[in-house]
Amino acid sequence: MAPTEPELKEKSEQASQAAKQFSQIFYEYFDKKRHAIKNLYLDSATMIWNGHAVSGKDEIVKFLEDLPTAEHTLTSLDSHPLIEPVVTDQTSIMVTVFGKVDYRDSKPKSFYQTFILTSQGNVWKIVSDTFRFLETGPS
Amino acid sequence: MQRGPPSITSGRGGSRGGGSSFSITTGRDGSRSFGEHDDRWVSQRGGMKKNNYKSYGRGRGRGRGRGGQSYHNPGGPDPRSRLVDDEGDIMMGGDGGSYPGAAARLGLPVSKSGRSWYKVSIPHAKKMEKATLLALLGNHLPATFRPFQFCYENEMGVFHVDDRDVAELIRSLSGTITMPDSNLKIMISVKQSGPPYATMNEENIQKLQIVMSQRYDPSVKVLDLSRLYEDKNLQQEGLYLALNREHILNAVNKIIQEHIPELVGLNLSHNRLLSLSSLQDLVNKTANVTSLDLSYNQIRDVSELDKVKGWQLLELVLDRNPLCDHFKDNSSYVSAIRKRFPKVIKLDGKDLPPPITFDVEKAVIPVSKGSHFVNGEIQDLVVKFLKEFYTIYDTDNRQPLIDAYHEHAIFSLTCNFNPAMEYRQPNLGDYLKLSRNALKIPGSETEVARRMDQLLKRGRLVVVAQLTALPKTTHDANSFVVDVNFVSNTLLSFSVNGLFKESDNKADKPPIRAFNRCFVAVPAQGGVLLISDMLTITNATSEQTQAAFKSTGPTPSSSPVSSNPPALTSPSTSVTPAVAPDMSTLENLPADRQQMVLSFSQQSGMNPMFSFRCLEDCAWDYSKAAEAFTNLSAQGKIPPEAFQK
Repeated sequence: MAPTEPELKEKSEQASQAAKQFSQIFYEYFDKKRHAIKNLYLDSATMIWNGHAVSGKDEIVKFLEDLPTAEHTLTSLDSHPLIEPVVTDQTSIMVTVFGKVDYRDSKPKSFYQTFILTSQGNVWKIVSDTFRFLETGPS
Repeated sequence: MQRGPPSITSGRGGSRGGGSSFSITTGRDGSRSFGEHDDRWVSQRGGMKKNNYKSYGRGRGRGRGRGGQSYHNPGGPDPRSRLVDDEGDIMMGGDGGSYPGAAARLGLPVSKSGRSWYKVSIPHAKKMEKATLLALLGNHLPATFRPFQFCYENEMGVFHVDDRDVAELIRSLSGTITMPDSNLKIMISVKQSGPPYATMNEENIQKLQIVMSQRYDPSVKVLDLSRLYEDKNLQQEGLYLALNREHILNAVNKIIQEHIPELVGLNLSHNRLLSLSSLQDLVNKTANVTSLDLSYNQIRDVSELDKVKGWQLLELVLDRNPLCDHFKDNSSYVSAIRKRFPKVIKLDGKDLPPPITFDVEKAVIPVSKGSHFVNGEIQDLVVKFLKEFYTIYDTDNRQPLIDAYHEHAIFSLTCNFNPAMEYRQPNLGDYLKLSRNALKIPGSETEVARRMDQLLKRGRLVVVAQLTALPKTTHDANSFVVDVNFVSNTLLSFSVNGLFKESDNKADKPPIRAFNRCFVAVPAQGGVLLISDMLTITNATSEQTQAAFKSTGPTPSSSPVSSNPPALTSPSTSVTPAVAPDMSTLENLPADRQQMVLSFSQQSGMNPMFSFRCLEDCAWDYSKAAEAFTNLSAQGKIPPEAFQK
């Protein structure tokens, strides 16, 4: 686990590209065909949605389908290659998104969302998904 | 309405009768010259006798001429005075205007009562202080003398008064008072005019804001702006703020957006509003408004309400607006309103039968919960880590954080305006040039890749050097919400959301920033080491700003999900950093250590505080501390404050 400088550079470029594609796919699915989002998650994925912890792909999709119709607009996107992978021998990246989500009936909210992705075979899968509104704390 | 007519609205002195309403400025440039904007008169046709007034319902169908809007200004001095031509726009000619002439030309009746405006101009007033001048005049005037909107127009001092007798008195003073320190007489010209035009500068906005906060009831979230133009506190300030002037309503709109977006009820009654255009963009920003009072205004057509139909109104009052007269019966009126506000159940104070709707399953946004730690053991570990991390992070010296990072750690940050706040936001300052935002970096693919690479800080020395260069901060530990999102034997990932401010920001009210910070750590001897640190910075929402840096305890905005506050919310006194000594720390040191600090300070050139820190960090090993100093100094990582004595 002592990557050389060129290796790290290459890995971070790979992460940036994956992050960009991922964010486009994820939010398009979420906003337009939410049922299809299922394929993006690892079977054993976990999600923390504003403090609600959900584990397993099926449970996550069920939770997401119960959320109101949404429209996400991304403001920023950043990614890191993880020098220690979440799954042995796979490549892992962390992706953080910041943006605005509009649920139609309520006023738009800003949100942060962080994903950890792992390359399973040649496919990126979500291992962990953390979502938080920018709101007044849990008091 | 129990009172008589709002005196302010009853025409302009002798030239106009009680029915003439005050003017609406169409110009938005803040100009004070009457020549530059036309004063548009709201006028009435087909006046009604004042004793009819009380029997008036919403004004539909009872003994009035077509298009009459006679309900307003009841008890005006003379019904005939309302006979102003509907299209009677008047351009006020030149400075001060030739009011009586214009009035006479239109054959307007003259009223002796009611509020009329006079513009007082004093050439060469600039030679005197405002206070001196007003005091000089005040000596000769009754206590009721109240100058409105005093300002200088070049050398000339200009203000308005709203009292005819006072105006006459002022006119009679012309040429009778001598300017101090000279033998010039003060010349004064007094002319009838429209109401003064209030430029909404910082100062006036501040005054408006104070009055609005007095008129806001936070317990029910209702803002009462009825009759704002005759607000006693504004009058005290010499301010005449009429909501039917677009720039005033815009200013109100802005203040609501910035300070009370949680607004539920808004009362705009008795303000002679013609248009709701200025409220249009407020609708999106105040989604909670369910109650609106527009009674006693001048809204002429029901379609004007389209501009605010985004509000999910439950209650609406439109009494005494011309639009009410355009319906042949009550049911067509109700249906026109329901078309725009389908949820209205109370209209003009009367209950409506609930609307018939469809049984559609309504998705709701789950209520947010607090921190998620997976289990108590991880909670202890993460909380302890964060306390230590932010204790050091918030001092002047972030260098010790180097121990928290893995040799190959990665750090980057992005900063953004908060996309849910569309109004003015504090700028993002120094963070912007470091923002590794893949969506915003311009240029070709290669350029973007190069820039992205530059902005990714790799290796703990580089990471800590970057952290040291970031603005000094104070984090609000009570605002922290933590999510532990991945745990394995080899990896721990968690994110922190919260608020901070920049300690060195010299602004009056330093902006409150919101942040999200994702840490990925690997186990290490006695704790964890960070391999990734990803920071997102934005501006806090107004609710967050209000709640920031308040000790725990109920606040109006606190959410009900307070069941398990994270351990992080422990009082900040418990995390007194060892690295932030004050003078007494030094004085209480044993003599030998004091001596060490002194010598170290002399040798290094750093002040005693920083010398103390350096020694303390190196467990009082003098040569080790000297080595650390030399290294840091060579890397240029010692802040300039260290050398300030």
